[in-house]
Amino acid sequence: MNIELLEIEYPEPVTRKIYMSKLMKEASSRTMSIHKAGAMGVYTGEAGVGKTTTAREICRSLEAKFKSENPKAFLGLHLQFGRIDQGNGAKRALRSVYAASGLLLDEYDYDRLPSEELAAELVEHFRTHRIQVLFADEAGLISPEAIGGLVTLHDVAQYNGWPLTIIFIGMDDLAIKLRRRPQVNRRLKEWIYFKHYNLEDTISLLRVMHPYFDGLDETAKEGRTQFEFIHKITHGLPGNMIPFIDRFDYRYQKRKDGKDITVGFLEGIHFVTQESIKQSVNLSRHVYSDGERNEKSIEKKQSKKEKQKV
Amino acid sequence: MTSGTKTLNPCHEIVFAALEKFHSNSGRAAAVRDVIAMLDESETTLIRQTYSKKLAAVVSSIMVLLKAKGLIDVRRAGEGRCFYVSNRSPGNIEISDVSSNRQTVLSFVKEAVRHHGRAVRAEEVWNWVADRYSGEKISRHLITRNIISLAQTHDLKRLEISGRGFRGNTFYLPAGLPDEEYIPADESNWLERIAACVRTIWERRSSRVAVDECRPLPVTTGEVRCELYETYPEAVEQVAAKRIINSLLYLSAGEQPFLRKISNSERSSVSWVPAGVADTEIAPPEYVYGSDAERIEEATRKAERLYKRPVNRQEVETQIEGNEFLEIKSISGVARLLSDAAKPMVINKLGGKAVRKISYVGSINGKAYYTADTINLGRARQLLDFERLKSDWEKMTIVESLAGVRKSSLPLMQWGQSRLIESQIDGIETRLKTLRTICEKEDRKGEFAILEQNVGFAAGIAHSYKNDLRKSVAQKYDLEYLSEIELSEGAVGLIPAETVKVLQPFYPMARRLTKEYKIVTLLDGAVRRFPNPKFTSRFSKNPHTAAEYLYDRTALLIYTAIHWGNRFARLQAVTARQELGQIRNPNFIFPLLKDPDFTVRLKAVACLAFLAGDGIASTLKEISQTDIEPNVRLAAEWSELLLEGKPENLQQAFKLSR
Repeated sequence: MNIELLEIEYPEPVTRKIYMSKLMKEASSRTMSIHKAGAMGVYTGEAGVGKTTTAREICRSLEAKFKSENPKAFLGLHLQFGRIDQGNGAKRALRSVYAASGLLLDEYDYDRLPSEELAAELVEHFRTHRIQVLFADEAGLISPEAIGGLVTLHDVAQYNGWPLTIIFIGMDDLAIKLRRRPQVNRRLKEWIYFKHYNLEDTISLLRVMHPYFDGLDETAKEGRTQFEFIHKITHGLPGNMIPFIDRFDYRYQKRKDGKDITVGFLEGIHFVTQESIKQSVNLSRHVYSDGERNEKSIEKKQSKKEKQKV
Repeated sequence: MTSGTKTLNPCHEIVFAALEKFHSNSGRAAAVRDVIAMLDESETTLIRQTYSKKLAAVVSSIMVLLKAKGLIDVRRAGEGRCFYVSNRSPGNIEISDVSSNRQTVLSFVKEAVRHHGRAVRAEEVWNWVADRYSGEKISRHLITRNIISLAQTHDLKRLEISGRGFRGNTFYLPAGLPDEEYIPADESNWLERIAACVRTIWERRSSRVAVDECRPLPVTTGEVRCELYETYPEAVEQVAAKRIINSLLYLSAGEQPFLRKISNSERSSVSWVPAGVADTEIAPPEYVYGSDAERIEEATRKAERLYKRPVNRQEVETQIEGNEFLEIKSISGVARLLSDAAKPMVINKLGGKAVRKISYVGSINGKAYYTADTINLGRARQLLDFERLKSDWEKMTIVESLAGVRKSSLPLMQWGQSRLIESQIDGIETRLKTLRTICEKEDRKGEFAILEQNVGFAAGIAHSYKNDLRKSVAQKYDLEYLSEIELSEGAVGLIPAETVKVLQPFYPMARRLTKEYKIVTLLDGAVRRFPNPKFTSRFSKNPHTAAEYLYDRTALLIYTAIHWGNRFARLQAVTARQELGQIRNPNFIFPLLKDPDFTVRLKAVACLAFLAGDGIASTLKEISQTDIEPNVRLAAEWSELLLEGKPENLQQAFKLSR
């Protein structure tokens, strides 16, 4: 039996350029400003707004700037939490930090040692490796107990004279979780809410992301329309812009007709995906009743958010 | 000689002189036997040559003649006994106060009956006399003859105790004593006791026929001996083994035997059943084992058939458990019996030896293995080699080691660990190849295939790890130089005594050890060991050659630091354990000290702290003085303390705080 193979073209690998928006730069400064003797802070905002990117860029910059002979120099550590439910959450949170540090936690120690001692060992490791900032990403997924474990880590570091700043990053109900616990809330020295990009930020990001947009004139009508279109469909969220750019680039590379890119081209890229989403949702709605219920609640939430924006 | 009126012939003179001699010796009248006792050999010979009658009759007749001649006088004692007195003797010659042999023996019987409280055998009377009258000249033969004579004259009653039927089991009771009160109730003779033991064992076995659904085994001599010694503890001293055998033979002989002997010519063994038991009531001869050695041999053979290789003590024991035919009768354990059965035995006075039917093949992890196939010892050794290979493979924990490779954070260390594991697997593969033929021949193909597959799989993973990392390692390091380094070289082994010394300052249980080898049980596999290349014998006086395995010094220090060290020590130990795996050559670590990333240099210093070898001390000293990163300098200083390995330094290193 002969099977015809599909024509597959490998996409060109791309090195992402990071665009540091004004807000991201501001977040970085505000974070460093609270880090004197160690502190705790929060990054919140919608998914895709740039919280994780900011944290990673701060870590990268610290690493690039680090010099051993500079006693003030330090490093950062970014870790992404998975779900930690209730039940021994403090130790499990610390175990996640161990794993992110590249340190194997002996199961014997995990069982035997209390969380304060595990925290003290971590602090010793941080001290040896000059890590002073810890970004706890997706902190919205972890239980209040696990958050308490991280607070213990911060307090033990302070007690042992090591300045450790912990930044909780997340969306969900993170803000409420943190506010509800006075032990945590009163230790939080900075809250940074990441807003959606405005049009200027969107244009700046697009210019960094793709040479086509770098060459597009925002003062020209067509150019501005294209920028506005992208800003609208992505809601000003970098997390939405990047996948759109990837889809755009793939089609852009295959384009051979020599015509100029119009907003229609961009619309085509967007609506192809949107149509698929709609059809998928319809299928869920009609075949799986839960899907209908969930989809309705999602629609409700989305419309509520849009109203709030307005 | 003349008597005044007549001349005596020489024989008469001899007898008369003997009479007077008796008077002068004992001062009493003489009986015929007393006169005979006074005759010397030449006089006795002369009388015998002169007269044809028996000596006692002749002397008695001569006494009558001497009396007729008026030379002697006759005095009569009880029961018609005659005593003679010479008329030339002084007048105070008394009749001897000696009763007849018959009366003497009768009195002995009465005393024995009084002592035992029952009728007695002739043997018992003689034992009684022998114990109490050692000075009396009265023989066993005389006692027996007089007892029979007394029974014939009804001075004694003869009792045949029914149901025993043994020869010599006749009892005697003085006339006048009631039979019912003096019949012996218990077994008073070892022969009877031995017979009772056989009866007891047989009855016990017969009662289990319905339960076990098999015919009972005949009773072996060893079982009789055990039963006898258990039931009659005094038999241990009084009844020798040979006597038991003789008793059994005696009981099985004669017209009315009590026992039947069953011979097994194949095994040269003999066993016993009560007379009257048919062959169809006994277990077949092939199930009858005459000795524990035979049972052990059969159990070994059965175990070998099951496992298809030489077997150890536990495996032999499982064949014995629950198998009545193979149950060990002696108090020796199976281990001792195996060891004894495997020793060659002397078969002639010149010291020629014959190998018994079990041979010692070798040992694995301290367990001895034996085979009943003594002809093909080479085959047995090869099969044991295969078992040893399987054990070594399991101990190597290659799969865990491979998992550990990815835990290392440094590509160079990952590459090194993969290379080391690959070389270990190569060694296993080489050994495996040599055993393929024997495994195929001995129906061990399945096991061989599984092991080969596992080894091949692990080899593939190790190889792929190594290759994946090769490129990234080659970019930073001199791969050619690193490939030449023997990674496991430099491993330092510690004997149990040295291990205990390291642990004692920290581990209270180690301080309480009375024997150093018990550290093995205490640590229970928590610290890696490797075979001692200098090992000769467990009984060697030199502890460095007596230890079969050595503790890995690096693993021991890491273990100690993790369990009893302060935070810094623990972190260093965890890092070293993660990065090193089983790498022990410090030359592999040195290139990492030049890395621009200080975290890499930190890890390298942590690794060096737990290794041993040339160049480490000087390198660490240099690092502690020149590295730009303060934490690396601090770690190097700490590592220097650990390097010397002295207990006081270890204590300081593990308790050191910032």
